[in-house]
Amino acid sequence: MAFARRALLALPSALAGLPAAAMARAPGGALGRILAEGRVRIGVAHDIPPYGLINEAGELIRLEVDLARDLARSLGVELELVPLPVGERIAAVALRHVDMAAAALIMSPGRLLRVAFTHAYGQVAMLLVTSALHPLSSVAELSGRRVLGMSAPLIAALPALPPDSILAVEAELTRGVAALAAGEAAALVVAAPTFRHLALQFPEAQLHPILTLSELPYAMAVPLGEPDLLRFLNTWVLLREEDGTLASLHETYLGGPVPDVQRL
Amino acid sequence: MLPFKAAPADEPGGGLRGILDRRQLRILVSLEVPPFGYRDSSGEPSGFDVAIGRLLAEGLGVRPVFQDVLPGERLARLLAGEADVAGNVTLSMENARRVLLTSPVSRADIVLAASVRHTLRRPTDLEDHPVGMLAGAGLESVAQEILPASAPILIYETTAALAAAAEQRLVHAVVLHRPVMQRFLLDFPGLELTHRFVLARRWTSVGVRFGEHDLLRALNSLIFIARRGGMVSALSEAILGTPQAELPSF
Repeated sequence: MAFARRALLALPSALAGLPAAAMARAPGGALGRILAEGRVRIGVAHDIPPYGLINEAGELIRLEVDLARDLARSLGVELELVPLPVGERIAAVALRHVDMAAAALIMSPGRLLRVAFTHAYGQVAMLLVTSALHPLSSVAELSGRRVLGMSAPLIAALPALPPDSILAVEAELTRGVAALAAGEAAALVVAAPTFRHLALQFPEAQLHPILTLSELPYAMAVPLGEPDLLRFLNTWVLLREEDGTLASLHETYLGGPVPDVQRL
Repeated sequence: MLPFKAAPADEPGGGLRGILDRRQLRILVSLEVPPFGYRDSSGEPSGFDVAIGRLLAEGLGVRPVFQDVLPGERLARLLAGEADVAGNVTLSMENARRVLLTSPVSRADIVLAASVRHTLRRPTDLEDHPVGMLAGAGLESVAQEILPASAPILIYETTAALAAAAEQRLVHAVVLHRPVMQRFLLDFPGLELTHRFVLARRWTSVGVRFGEHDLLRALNSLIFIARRGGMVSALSEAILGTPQAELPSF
C-alpha cells in the first residue's frame, strides 16, 4: 500500500477506545458482501463492439471492461469479469448471477421492473440500418417486413417504426448483418458506435443508416433492493464524470465528447 | 475483512425516525479547523460545517447538537453510532466505501503552501520535502496521487500541531483546503508560508451511515432546497470567502 512508503506520525488510532461493534458497521446487502469478500462480479458485454469483445488472446476488452476495472479499483476489491451475451444481461443482474452489469445498458421501462439503474452516464443514438444491396427509401417501406434488434424490450420501446413491421430479436450481430445482406430482414436496429464497427467489419454488406430512431440514456444495473450498492455506484458516476474518466473512455471507444445526460 | 451486521437503520432509535423521535440531529464537526469549524468568542460552535448542520436540523424541525471530534475520527465515530451525521466529508471513493454521501455542499481547492526558504513551484519539486496536512480531511489520497513518492507525508490532528511542525521545520510544505489555508496563513504568519499551487479540487458533503436511506433522501432534499434558495452559496461566501459554483445533485 502507498501509505507504507510514507513516513506517518504515530497518531492515536482513530479507532482506539471505540467499542468493537464500531468496527463492524459495514454496509449491508451486496455492497457489504463485496467488501467483506474482497471480490466483485461484474457482467460485461463480449459480443457488442465497441462495448465489449473477446480478442484473439481470449481476453475481454473494450469500454465495459475498462469501466469494470475502474469500479473494482474504486471498491478496493478484486474483479471477476463475467462475459454476458447481450440478451442475458438484465436477467443475470436480476437473478444475481453478477453483482452488477458495468454495461452501457439502455434504460427502458421494461427493464426498470427487473433491475435498478444507476444515474445515466451516457447517451447513444439508436440507428435504423439497412443494406444498400436491398435499398429502402423510407421507413414506411418497413411495413410488413422484418426489423431485427438485439433485445426485445429495446426494439419495442423505439418509436417511428410502422406498427405492422415484424420485430424480431437477433442477439448475434453477425447473423443480423447477414440477414440484411441476404434480404431476409429489411432493417437492423443498432447503436451508432456499433454500426460504425459493423460497417468497417462487413463492407460487402454495404450497411448504411436511414434514420436515427432515438437517443437513449444508458447506465449500469444492479439487482433490485440494493440501495447501498446503488448509492456507491452513483457516487462513482459523479466522481468519474468530474475527473474526466467517463469522458475519456467515451472518446476512446465511442468517439466524440460525452453528450450531456440529465440526472435522475 | 470486517464482519458486517444489520444496517443501523434496522436498530431501534436509528436513522431519520430516531432523529425525529429524539427531536435532535447529532452532528460530528471539528472545531479546530477554521473556517469550517471553530468556537466563536462566546465559545459557541461556529463555521461553515456548523452552519450547514444548523440548516439541516432546521429543515428537519429538530435541534442541532454538535459534537466536536478530531477530523480523523469523524467517520469512525459516526460508524460507532455516536452521532447521526458527520459534516465535511470529502466526496471520494474511499469515503463512499465507508458511508453514504449526500449531494455536495461545498467545493474547495486543495492547495499547497511552502516555506519561503524553499523554491517549490510544482509538485515534482517536492521530492524529499516532508509535507504536512490534517487528518480526516481527505487530503492524504490527493497528496499520494500528485506528490512524488519520495515526499514524506506527515499527518496532524489539529492546525495547531501542523503549525508547530512547520515552525520546527519538520515539514517544508503544508497541504490544506483553500479556506482553511487562508485562515492558517493568517493565524500563523510567523511560519512564512506562501501559497504555491493547487493540487486538486474536491467536493465535501455530509456523511450518513449505510442503510439510512430515508435520512439520506431527506438531507439531499434539504440541500437541494437550500442550494436553489441561494443559502448554501451565501454561507460559503460569508464564511469560506468563496461563492460556490454550481454544485451537482445526485
